[in-house]
Amino acid sequence: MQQEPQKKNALVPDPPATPDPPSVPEEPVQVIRPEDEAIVVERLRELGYID
Amino acid sequence: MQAKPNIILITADSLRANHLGCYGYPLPTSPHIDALACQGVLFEKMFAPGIPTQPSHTTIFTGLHPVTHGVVAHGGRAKLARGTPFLAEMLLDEGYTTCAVDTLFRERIWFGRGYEYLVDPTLHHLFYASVTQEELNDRAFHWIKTVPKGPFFMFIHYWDVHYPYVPPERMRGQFYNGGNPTDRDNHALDEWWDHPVGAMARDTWLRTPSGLITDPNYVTALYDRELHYLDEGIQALEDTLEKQGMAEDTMIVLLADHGESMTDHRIFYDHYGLYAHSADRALAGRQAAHRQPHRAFPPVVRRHADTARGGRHRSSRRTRRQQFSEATDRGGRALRI
Repeated sequence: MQQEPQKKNALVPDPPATPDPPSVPEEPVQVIRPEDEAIVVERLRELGYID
Repeated sequence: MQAKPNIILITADSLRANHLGCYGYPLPTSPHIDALACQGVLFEKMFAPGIPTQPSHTTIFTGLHPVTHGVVAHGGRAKLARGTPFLAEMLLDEGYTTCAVDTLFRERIWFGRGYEYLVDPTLHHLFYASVTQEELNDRAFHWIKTVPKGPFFMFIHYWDVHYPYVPPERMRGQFYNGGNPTDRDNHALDEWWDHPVGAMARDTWLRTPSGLITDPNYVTALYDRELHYLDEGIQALEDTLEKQGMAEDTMIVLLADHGESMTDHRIFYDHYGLYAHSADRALAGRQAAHRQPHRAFPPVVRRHADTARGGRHRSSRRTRRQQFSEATDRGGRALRI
């Protein structure tokens, strides 16, 4: 004989949900474009750091 | 075994000594460099007599203080006098095949003195300091495998720990405590943005699609990841020497030209000022060194070459092999000088 699925007892409250762990911000992705390198060179030349 | 040892001189630009494990750093940034120090000699107190790169490297190759050789800054008209002895030239005269994997000779002509081979992978970059250890090693390994027919001197100049700090993406997550790298309410770097180098960083390598990196701890983590990446490159070099059967015949000397400030003394991720973080630098070597101040570095290297061939120092100095044995007899702990 097939057993009926157990009915949910409305009087028994659901267990409290596990609190979500505090979200950790994802680390940023560094993207160095050729124009960024050009800016670095230009600024360092202005400062006299490089020729 | 060769009559004369091969010599590989490595400089790591802007390598801050106390971010290496062998100098007490608590994070595992440098296991392979630490092992190198364990096999040989570690100089615990090593000070750069001149900052930044060009004065310091001129001292490394001449053994002279910057005030003496005259190169005290970048730019300007100072030149190294043609008659000043230069390490690569001295070794060339001793019969070494000489090679530099470096870019300094493009900035100042004396850095090319004495080299039969000048290899410059930085030509693939607009800014030479963006070159990676893998790019340098690729050329260096090819040269090591194909060119030398006798003892060689190779100079390799790594730039990974010089700004901009942009480590490989696979190193994300390392050496950071899990804060928010781009927190807009973090103003710890605000005063740096007013400095020209800070403004440059803000406009380029610290700007990300997620926002501006504002957490100094995160910038320090980027530096540490670059160091870890460099450390992998040092191990790759050692592996190559081993595979080529050259490890026993090769002296490796690794040092920094100067240190790097993180945020110390309100100097942000740069190297200037008479402070320990900039002047302290690392020096470790396998099969290397007598007790000498670092200005005597070229004579030290030459003496090893001379000692190995039975030269005049043999009777009065311990041999490299003796020093190596003494170091390893200490249970694998470095010989600290």
